[in-house]
Amino acid sequence: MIDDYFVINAVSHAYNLEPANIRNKPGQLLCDMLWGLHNTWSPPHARMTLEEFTSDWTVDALAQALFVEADVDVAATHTLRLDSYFGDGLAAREKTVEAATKYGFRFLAYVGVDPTAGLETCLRELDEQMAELPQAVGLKMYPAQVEPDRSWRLDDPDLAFPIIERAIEHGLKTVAIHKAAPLGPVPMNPYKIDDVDGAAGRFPEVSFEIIHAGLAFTRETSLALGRYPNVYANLEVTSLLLLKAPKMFEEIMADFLLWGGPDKIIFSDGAMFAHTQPFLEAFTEFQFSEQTLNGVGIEPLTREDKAKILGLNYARVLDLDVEAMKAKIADDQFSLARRTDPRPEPYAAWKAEFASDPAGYRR
Amino acid sequence: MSATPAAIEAALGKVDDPCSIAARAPMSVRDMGLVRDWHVEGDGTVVVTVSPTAPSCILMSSIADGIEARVAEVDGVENVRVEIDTVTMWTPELMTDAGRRTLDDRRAASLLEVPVRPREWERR
Repeated sequence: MIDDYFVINAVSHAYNLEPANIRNKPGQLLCDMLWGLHNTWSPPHARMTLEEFTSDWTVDALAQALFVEADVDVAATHTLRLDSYFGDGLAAREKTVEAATKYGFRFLAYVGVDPTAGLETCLRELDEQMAELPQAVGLKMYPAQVEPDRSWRLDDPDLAFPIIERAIEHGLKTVAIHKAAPLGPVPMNPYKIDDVDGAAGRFPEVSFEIIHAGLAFTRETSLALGRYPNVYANLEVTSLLLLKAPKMFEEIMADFLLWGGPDKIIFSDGAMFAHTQPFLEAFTEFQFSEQTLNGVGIEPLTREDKAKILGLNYARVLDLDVEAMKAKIADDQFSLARRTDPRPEPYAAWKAEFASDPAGYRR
Repeated sequence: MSATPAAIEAALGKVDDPCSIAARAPMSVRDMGLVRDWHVEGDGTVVVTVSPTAPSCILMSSIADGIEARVAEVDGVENVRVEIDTVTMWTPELMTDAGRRTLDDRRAASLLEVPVRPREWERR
């Protein structure tokens, strides 16, 4: 909780960016891009060293970064299937299982498939992952892979729709699709958001999160928020603009607010790629300028709006009982640590863990 | 004969910005606000500094090629070098007035083509 806001970070993961996990040149370029974003968009006091960043992060360190070093109450963690870039896809299925079983009241789990692997493979893997993790709440997918460049569309009735239907059968509440941030020098088209429309219209019973909403195609995203009750802007990485380029953040948020309203925006940052605490401290103080309010024609952001963005919208999407969640985490090890000790510096847990065995975490 | 500033500015005005074309609001890299600076060095080389609209821009190399080709066509220019500014965060304020008008017109036309009311989802 920060300033009495219940905070759900809707995207987090323990990346494996160690050199041994990078499959090829696109993987190295993506690793370099992530490092560049981390190192230039995070405030100086909330950065890892290059060695700490390009290593195999642990679920324990992720949990400490979120729930002890920051005021995050609950977080979603995604199984990532960037299989053509990284040996384990970047955030391995095992880590999602570990997070959701070891810290079950703190982590919400997303399973992941790669539709470029084909429908049969996706359905089989979806079944396997749901058998392993029946409490999973969402499905995460990427629109393209490399070597060779290949992509698929979320409105493909022969590939995407059967996958979404199976996800709904398994009880998943949300489909998160990476958009707006091309993963290196690859074709941009798959990262456009136009294909979300077709899926959102066809499956009104499930929600669709446009991940990295606003990094590109902002107006198109806003219009999707405006038209479809089940499309949401997920702010992963976009949220960091509040710290790096506040005016850009303000403009993106204003557009989302105008067209979609405060109910259609979901906070996340992609921790521990970024450390959440600097954003939370800045966002609780954030307000639109008079120029933006008058120019865009929106109302000032209220406490109710911020509460929705920081957690209540996401809880509604997943049909979660916030008061019940508060009760479950009230006396767990993280809450206890927060009550008894001063807040550690950002990444303190990972820095200590990494220092204990640098060669082991960075093969 | 050395190249005139007006001729170099005009050449930069002929370099297409690829994303604006894709967005059906075609404009030059100058109108898009990508050109941070240009100057002529002692040996006659024209150095143009540009910044992308986003750190993940994948088209900077083709933009640089376009700038080199267009500026090299200017009488008196011997060499052209394009340097990338990775620090500046692009905002629409960096666009020229003409560029902003082009984009605003395109957006207005787009909304007319697909009419959407704010928060229309609440009525569904």
